[in-house]
Amino acid sequence: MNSLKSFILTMGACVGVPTVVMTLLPYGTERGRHAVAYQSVPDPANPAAPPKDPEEMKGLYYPVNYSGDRKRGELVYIQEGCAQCHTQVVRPDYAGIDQFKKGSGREQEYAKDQPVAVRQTHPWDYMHEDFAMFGIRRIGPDLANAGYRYLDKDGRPDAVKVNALYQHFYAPRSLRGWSTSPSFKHLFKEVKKEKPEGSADALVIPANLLLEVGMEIVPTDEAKALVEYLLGLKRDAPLPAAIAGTPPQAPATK
Amino acid sequence: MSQETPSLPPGVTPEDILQRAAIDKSTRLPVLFFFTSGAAWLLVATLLGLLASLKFVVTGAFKYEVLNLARVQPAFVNALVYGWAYQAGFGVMIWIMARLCRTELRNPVTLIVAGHFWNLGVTLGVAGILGGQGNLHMKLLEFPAMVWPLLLAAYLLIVVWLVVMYSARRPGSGYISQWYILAACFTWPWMYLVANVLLNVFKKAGVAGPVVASWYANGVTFLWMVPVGLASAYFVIPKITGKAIHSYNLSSFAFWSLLVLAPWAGAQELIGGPVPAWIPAVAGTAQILLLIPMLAVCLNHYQTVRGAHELVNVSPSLRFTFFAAVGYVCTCVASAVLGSMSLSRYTFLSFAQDGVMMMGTYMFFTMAMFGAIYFIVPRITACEWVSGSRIRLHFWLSAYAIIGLCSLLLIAGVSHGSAIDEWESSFETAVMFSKGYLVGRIFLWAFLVAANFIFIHQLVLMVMNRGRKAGTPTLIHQPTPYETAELVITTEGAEA
Repeated sequence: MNSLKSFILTMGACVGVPTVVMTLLPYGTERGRHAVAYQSVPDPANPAAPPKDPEEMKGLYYPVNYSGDRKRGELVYIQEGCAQCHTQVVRPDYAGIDQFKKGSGREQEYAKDQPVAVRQTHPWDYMHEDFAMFGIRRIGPDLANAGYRYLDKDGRPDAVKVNALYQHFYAPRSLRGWSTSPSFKHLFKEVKKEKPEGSADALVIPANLLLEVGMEIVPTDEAKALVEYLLGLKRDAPLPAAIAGTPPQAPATK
Repeated sequence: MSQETPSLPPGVTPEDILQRAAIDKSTRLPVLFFFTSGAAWLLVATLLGLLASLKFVVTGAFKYEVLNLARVQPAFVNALVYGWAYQAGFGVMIWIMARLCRTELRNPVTLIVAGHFWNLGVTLGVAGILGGQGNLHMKLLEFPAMVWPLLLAAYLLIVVWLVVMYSARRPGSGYISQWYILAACFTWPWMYLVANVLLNVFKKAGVAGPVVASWYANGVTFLWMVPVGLASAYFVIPKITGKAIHSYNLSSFAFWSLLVLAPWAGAQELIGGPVPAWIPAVAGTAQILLLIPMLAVCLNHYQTVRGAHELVNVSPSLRFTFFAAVGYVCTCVASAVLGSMSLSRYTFLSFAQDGVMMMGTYMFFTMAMFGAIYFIVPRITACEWVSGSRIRLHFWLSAYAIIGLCSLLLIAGVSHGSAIDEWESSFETAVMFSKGYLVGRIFLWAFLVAANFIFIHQLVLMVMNRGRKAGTPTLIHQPTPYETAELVITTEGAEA
């Protein structure tokens, strides 16, 4: 290379073009992504059935941004390093069995020989995140649809299961002896019992986890926000037709 | 010092010797500063790595909030990369650039000031991670967002003098090592700037976030560590063997093909993830094509060393550099293989990726830096390494530990991932499948800690001017009478 200038220019071209294609282009695509309205289309599984009432679908968009405690919980998830070991990705069937893995979605207790596929994750699922929470390593279970794991039969948060989630943060090995998850005790406070029955927030945990009698473990706001975030992790909402690729309803024209 | 050997190698004039001594003297302070502070971070990083691997198995150890496994793991990776690898690289870049440009370094104080800012940045970053303020979801960008302008400014302040040196070099043909160093000067700040502006300033990146982060993380290995490590290898090998690099065209081809291909790679680790499918496909293709520059470099190095292989037994620098060359091959092959569709099913974001990271950062780059440090430090401190047998111990402990560590992580990744990829198995199976390898990892980390203690002890002795005062270099083994080539390693050949 004869001169520094031509060296720098050549190198700039070598690195500049891929920078545009591999980073700026995907980034621009994400910035241009908008929430998509649900449209009334025939159900592909049952084309004969009448499509849903268009009035009902009005004002329904995917995805909906989340706010408040869930946003704060996301920050706790980031700063506590949950993403170091937990992914939030459901890969399509050509890349892994994520879609059929037990516990990976809404269909918790499906029949073994008739698995119901969980929808693979889609760029729209992460649209409102500053940095899609794919995670860095999949050392622990995937959490793309973790919200379903703490629901009762009617689809409401189950107090016992949510308590178990808190207990997992507090003392992971007290639930599963084989777990390699670190304990997040610093997200909890050990306080003196005010009332004999204990405060409403207090964890229901085995007595051997308590250091002293008359004390109780209360989650901090961070722990509550984190649980709120995890309970909201449901990346399997039906996609609007425009995203999923189903042809939109033909406009009523003559 | 070696220059004082009475018989000069062919083509070396007494003026050359004097000039080399002057250059060495001018680079002494900044280079030793970067080597020692880098070595201190290496110790911190290996201790954090040992702690992280320990806490994976002995989950109850060190129950402090700041030493939580989920914070220690990223702190270890970032301390290793930004604390040790970059600073060792700075020292090597400065010295080799000054030597090859045949100019004395005019701004040692600026470099040391910039080095302090770099250390401040890394300290704030690691403390931020341990204190629970890090961006622990972005690979290799885990430092709190406030740190990146500091690191970038410090980096630019350091490399600007390298570019100035290059443009003011004594006329003559450029050396391949200079090109690699120049490339490293420009590529990293560019990638770091792009990644941080997109992810920490503009935000709202959605799925482009992991794409950018994986592009950046791969770039750290292939556009920074590979250029700096190869610059060191291209310098050390001819110096020790006393032969010129085999083929100018081949090295030029390897250089430009690396620069053309490497910036496309990285996102292949997201195969199957919710990103447009062309992104991992293009990245994976580029990663496989990166085997071409690797083969060109290997051929070139092999042809250069041919006939002088026994010097690996004698010269510490050549032995570490040789090992690093093997590490470079392993890194390229493993990265290419893990980007393949059929295997990524089992290794998606698994321990195997940690294994490849350790291959690139340690088995290749760190070993190359050790080789360069064993070459450079005697020349700038005017004393020789204390003990050849300790260098030998450092080498064997590091070599066995890092080979074992990378193999264990690769196997652990595949077995953990294939257990997850079973229909019925509970997560306990995956944990149990990988546990044995993770237990083994603790012992190998202990070996690495021991190796680095030996290295740092030796380095500190050299910095304190307590090395051997003999005029001959410290060798791993004393050459046998049959080896006639030993003379060349005591000299620096005419060809740089």
